[in-house]
Amino acid sequence: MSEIAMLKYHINAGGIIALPDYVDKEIQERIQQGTLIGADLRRKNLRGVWLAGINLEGADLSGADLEFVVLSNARLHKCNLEKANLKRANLIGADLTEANLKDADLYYARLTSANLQKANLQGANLQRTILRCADLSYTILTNAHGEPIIDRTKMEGIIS
Amino acid sequence: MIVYHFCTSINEANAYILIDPETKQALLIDVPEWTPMMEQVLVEQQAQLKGVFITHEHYDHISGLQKLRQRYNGLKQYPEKDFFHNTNMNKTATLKLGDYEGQIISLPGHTPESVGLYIDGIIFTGDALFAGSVGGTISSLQAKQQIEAIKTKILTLPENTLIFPGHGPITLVSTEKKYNPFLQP
Repeated sequence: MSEIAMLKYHINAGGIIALPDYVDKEIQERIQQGTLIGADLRRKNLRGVWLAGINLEGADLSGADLEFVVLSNARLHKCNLEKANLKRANLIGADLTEANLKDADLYYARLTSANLQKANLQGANLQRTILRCADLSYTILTNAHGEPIIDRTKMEGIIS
Repeated sequence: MIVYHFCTSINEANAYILIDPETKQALLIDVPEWTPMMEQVLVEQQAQLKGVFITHEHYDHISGLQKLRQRYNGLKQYPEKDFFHNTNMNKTATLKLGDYEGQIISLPGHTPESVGLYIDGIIFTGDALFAGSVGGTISSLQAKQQIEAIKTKILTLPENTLIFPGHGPITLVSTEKKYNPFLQP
């Protein structure tokens, strides 16, 4: 037996989680300013990074490693998350409207109360993905696979 | 405070190692398994394991206890037995880790003896509260008891309190207050 993942958090006074060293300096500065609008984060390692409430509108996170990332309440409108590793991510209450999640891995990701209207989930892994109270209206789910947790989920007009 | 988060292969249960960087004292929270990587963290950090805190005694949170005890003979376990002999529903106890003082909080519901640890602005909730969800219970009475405990003992903490649950990613009190469907009025 061995761990599936190990993360390290430095918690500063006031309960603030410091950004890990593996995040580029330039990205760290932008995170501290609270916005990553349109940022180029392709294939970046952002595992377990605390990004709650941040604005990533239109950012390119394709192929990024976002396992265990905290993006609760974040704005990810029109984000490109194609082939991103979002396993066990916290996306509670996130705005993922019109986001591209094609072939993304959402295994056991928490999307409770997230807004995914018109998102593209084509080919995405939805095994154990928690979609409780999420809005999946008009999403594209062609070839999406796995058994997500669906409970009070809005599914009007989905394309599958 | 430094927190190492291990997502283990035992039902994906989390184990945590807390380290006070000043005194190098460490505390293990739950032990689904005891692995070489956990041992390595203590060695690399030159930290001394002071004890193990068990949030509840389900197999996926204690399976590594025997191996841990073989390695650390006489290791102290929290909460101490006396904690459970106190029948007061609002019972609490304290736990010292270096310069920090934690508060052990009773969170009955998932199991009658479930507990959490609040220390330095963060809370370890075991299987009482997860990001966007709550722990399973065996009766509606226990479910009600659990929700009551979460609402009165966790949601009353400062909004920016970090929550480290027994499974899954970390979260925040304010996020759970706003979005967790099990905690809405």
